Amino acid sequence: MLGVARAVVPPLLVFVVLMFVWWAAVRALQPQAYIFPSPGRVWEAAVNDSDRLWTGFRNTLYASVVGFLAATAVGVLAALLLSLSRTIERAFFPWAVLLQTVPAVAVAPLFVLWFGPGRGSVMLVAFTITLFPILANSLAGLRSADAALVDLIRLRGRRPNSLFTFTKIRIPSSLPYLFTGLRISAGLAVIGAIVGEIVVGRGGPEAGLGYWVTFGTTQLRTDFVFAAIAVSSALGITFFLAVSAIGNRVLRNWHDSARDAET
Amino acid sequence: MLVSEEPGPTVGTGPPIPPPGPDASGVTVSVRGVTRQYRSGFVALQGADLEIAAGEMVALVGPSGCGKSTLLKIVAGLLSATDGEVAFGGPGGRPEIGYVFQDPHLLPWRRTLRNVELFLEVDGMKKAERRRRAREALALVGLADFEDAYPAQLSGGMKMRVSLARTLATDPQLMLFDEPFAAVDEITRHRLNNDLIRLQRERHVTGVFVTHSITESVFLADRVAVMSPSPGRIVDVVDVPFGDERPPSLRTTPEFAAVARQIGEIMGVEA
Repeated sequence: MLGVARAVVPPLLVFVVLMFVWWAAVRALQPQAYIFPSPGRVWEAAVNDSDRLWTGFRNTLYASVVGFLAATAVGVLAALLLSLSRTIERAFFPWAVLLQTVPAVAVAPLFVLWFGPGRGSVMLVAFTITLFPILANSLAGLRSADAALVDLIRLRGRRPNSLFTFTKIRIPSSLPYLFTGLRISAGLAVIGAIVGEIVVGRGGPEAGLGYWVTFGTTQLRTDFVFAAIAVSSALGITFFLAVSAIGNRVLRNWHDSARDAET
Repeated sequence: MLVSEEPGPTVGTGPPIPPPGPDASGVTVSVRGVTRQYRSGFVALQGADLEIAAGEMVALVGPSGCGKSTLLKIVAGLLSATDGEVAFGGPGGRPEIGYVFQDPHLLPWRRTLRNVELFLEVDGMKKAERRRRAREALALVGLADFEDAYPAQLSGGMKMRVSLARTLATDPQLMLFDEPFAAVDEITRHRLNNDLIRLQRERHVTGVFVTHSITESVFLADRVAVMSPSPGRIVDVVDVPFGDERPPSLRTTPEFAAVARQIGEIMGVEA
């Protein structure tokens, strides 16, 4: 109980202070509301347009989760392939790094051009931006397996790339690294989806938070833009925390005790 | 003094001190002119010759870089020799070899018992059998009560015991130790050595023990091969005349000190 309070109270205090500073600054300087709204106005805008924010939240969540899961599947599979041989890794990994340096904002319009201004393009941006951290971390993890142990197993007739070595040594060894990659990518997935939505720019029932940010800006409804940004952040944090929780759970139970108990 | 070991054709033909009880089921090792040279030209090991009798324990002693670990890895098959050969004698073909590293190399996500089962699992042994053998091996190293602990919950010495049990579970005919207890404290190391010598003598397992500690080598071995660096080679082989009975008190006897001094002189460290 005390531990939770210790973790929650200090950041909450900082939040309250920041809100107060914001409120006091707006009150003292009296800027135009469309330039810089007060916290009260942002809250009102959020409540008045809660329907839009809620569907936006769900749509962005959906697109980022699909992109993230696809990147996880592709990234882990690619890492498994690259880990099979140093030659394959040397041939392909530099291209993966190069792909990573291509800015997502710059390729998003191309996706729209190729695949149309729909959800697919949004998911593709989320996928592109999340792929590399997952790939790179899984690969590092697969490489981190205890080399001496792999050697001893090789002496007993199982090659370092055998199924046994992968399932019993390499893949379990890679899990802490994999979850580091997944945590990084969880936050990135939401950013990718929002970038995608801004570029796609299509409203309607599929509109995500990125669309509402653009919409609010063109209407000079800055209070609503602030609200949409806050919801986006909340979404990113929730996603990150969810993946962290799963990671902690898996790594606490990655001991195969439960699976392989007395029979 | 540079006395090369006698080029006796086979083992058991009578080194001055009789080796531990001759054992028909034991494995012999012949190291003949084994050399390991790297492409850079660096010679890690130069023409090593060594005949190891069945049930005998030979220690390889020397400073860092003398090639003792290289020789051990070549015997194990973990490294290949650039020249020379290693041959095994005894029943069957290639003997069951157990290799113990300096660090325990356990799987952190497995409990003790499952760690000990690992190599048996590699061999495709049935679960019930492998569990039985793992429990047996854990009892041998005195860790029967810790089969459900994770490595993170064990001390350094206990982890080494688990590592040793994992090797014992495979019922090795030849055990190779690569400075296995270098990373644990002095007291723990003595205890582990007391246990190790008892296990090795009881089972008549042939053994090779790499260490940089002269006292450890004298306590454990029937013969001590003294090595020297650049290029790494065996400069002398010293007989240790204590037979199979090695009580902990042996370490404080004058005879023990005399053998240790003799090895120290060969190494040039004048004990």
